[in-house]
Amino acid sequence: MLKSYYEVEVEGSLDLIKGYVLGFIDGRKIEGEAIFDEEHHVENEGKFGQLLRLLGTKGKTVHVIVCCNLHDMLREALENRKSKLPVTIHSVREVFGASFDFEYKTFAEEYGKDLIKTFGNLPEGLVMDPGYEPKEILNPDAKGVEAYAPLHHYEVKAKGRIAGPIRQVMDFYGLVEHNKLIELGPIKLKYGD
Amino acid sequence: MDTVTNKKFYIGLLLAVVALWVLQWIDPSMAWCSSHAEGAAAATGGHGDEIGKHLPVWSIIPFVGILLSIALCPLLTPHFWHHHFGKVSLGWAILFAVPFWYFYRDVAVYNMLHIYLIDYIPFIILLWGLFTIAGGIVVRGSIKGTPLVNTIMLLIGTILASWVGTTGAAMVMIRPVLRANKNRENKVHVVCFFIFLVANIGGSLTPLGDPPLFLGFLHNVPFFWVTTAIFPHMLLTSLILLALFFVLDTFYYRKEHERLKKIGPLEREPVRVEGLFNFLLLGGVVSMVLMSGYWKPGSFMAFGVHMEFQNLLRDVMIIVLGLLSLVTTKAELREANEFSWFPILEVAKLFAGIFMTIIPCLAILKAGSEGALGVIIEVVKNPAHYYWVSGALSSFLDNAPTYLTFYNLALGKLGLTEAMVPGALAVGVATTNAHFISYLQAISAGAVFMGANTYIGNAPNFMVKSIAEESGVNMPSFFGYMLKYSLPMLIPCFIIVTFVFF
Repeated sequence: MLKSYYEVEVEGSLDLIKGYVLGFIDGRKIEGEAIFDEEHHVENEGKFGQLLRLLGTKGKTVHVIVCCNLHDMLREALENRKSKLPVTIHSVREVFGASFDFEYKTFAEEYGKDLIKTFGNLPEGLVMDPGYEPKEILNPDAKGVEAYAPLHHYEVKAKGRIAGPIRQVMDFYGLVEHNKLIELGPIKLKYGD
Repeated sequence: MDTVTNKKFYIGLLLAVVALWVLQWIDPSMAWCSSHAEGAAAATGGHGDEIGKHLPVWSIIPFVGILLSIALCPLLTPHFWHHHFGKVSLGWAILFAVPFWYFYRDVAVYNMLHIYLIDYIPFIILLWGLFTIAGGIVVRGSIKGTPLVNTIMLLIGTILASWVGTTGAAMVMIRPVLRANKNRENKVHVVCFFIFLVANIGGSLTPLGDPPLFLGFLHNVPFFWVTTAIFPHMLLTSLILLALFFVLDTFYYRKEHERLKKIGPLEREPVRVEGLFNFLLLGGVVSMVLMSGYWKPGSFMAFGVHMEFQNLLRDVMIIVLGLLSLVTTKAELREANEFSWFPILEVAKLFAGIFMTIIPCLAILKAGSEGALGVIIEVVKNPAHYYWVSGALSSFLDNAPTYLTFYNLALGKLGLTEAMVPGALAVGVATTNAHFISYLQAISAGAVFMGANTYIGNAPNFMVKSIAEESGVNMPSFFGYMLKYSLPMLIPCFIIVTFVFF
């Protein structure tokens, strides 16, 4: 059974909200998790929102993704502390899933095969959007070192989009994000409404 | 390079010679520039020393064309260029050679023979010798790519570059550097600084280091002149860049330290250098080049061109040393360096075209203000101008012909001949020419250092990029390299050099 995740949009400083939420989870000994968007490349604000924030008409907001009905407990706790804490909950939305775009390219055959394998055998629950087709190009006469007329012996490139439940998407994202041969787009959330 | 392509190249060359031979039976009655030709022939007594006063400015179009082809084709049409660069080079060469010969006959033949016998052949022989010998030296083993180790490896490569050439040093050092940093997440900066220091700036201390300086040596610049004259510029630039690299690498290393601890250390293999005999042969090449600069046993005429015995001996001995390296070095060492003749074939074919098409450019610049490019002489006035203009052009065009062009510009501006160069560069004598010394320092530093500004500035840049990419490094694009690395890191460094020295 997959856990339900909710995105809670809170206005206030990240450090304060993070400290409060993590303290809340630890203090109440809740078996749950809180994912802070800024730390996990989650895209939560459109260009218009960024512009409004730059102009000062919108305050700093933090998006916390929580599971296991933690959102209700958090909402209640923050409402109770409203007068003492400078934080306000703006919205709570159920997250149905997540996705991210990726692109990779390499001229190293060893790494190319690894990339094809990694993106060809996705963890359970994750799906690749149609259109993903890694292109391998071999130039047999380009083997060796060249200075003025460089051409690679091997080349592989591909791009696509991976979607699935938020936890699995984030785990896979974390697995590949340190590989500099892969360019990753931000994680986009899919909401219930 | 397959044998079929090689055959096509040589057939093309043969056809060009046959075309020239056929054309000599045709009367040059067309008005292309016969008045110029007659004037030149009359003025020069057949050798064309003053031909630059008569050549039109558009005669340098093939030269510009071949340099632009070298700069743009690998980026725009890599497949076409990889298979046909020899034909493109030949095409540009013929485009200049045929009309030049048709209108200038003996003067043209003399100029072509002169540039091939005096410049092209020794240039190719030296590059072949250094490439062959350095290709037999292998650094094996792996060490941990910490900031200190990386900085030391860059320093070793920088020092090596002046003695085995930037291409040789890059070929020997790039794989150990990549092996040491295999587990590092951020390693693009390591390769970019390698290009800055080993593939370019490190080669500035001897004529063996970088092709432009060897061309200077062939044109009477004493061997050790660059060693002393460019040392302060090279030292300052290298120190700034090494310090900057250390800071940057330390920043990245600390950032990825936790992850590196998790994945554990690389399998270590003790570092060892194999093919050490080749260092002895490199010493032989250095000795031969030095010998040709200081020993003057006499001269002879070959096809009407005045040649020196010591230069012939130098070239023959470099070939012998290269062959000795081929015979004595185990094949597995060359395989470990992925050694092939392709890079030398590239240089031989492309420079055959460059040296042919550069003839009008050099002649016009030598003519100084009386030549069609006199306006450049008026614009490029002080050493800082020479440094930046020769550097800027070396960033996008090959730095060897650029050096030769500005060397001749300086000679033309000061009314000097090549025979006067050693005297002009000597310190504390009546013939010392302080202007020429500062111009040549600026040209040498500009041409060598600023070859690092782009991937196309110097031949080893592309080679290093290509080897790094094939080892899994995600190298930046042409403009990415400029925007992220050369513009923010090299240009401020060159500005400091300008203020300190020029």
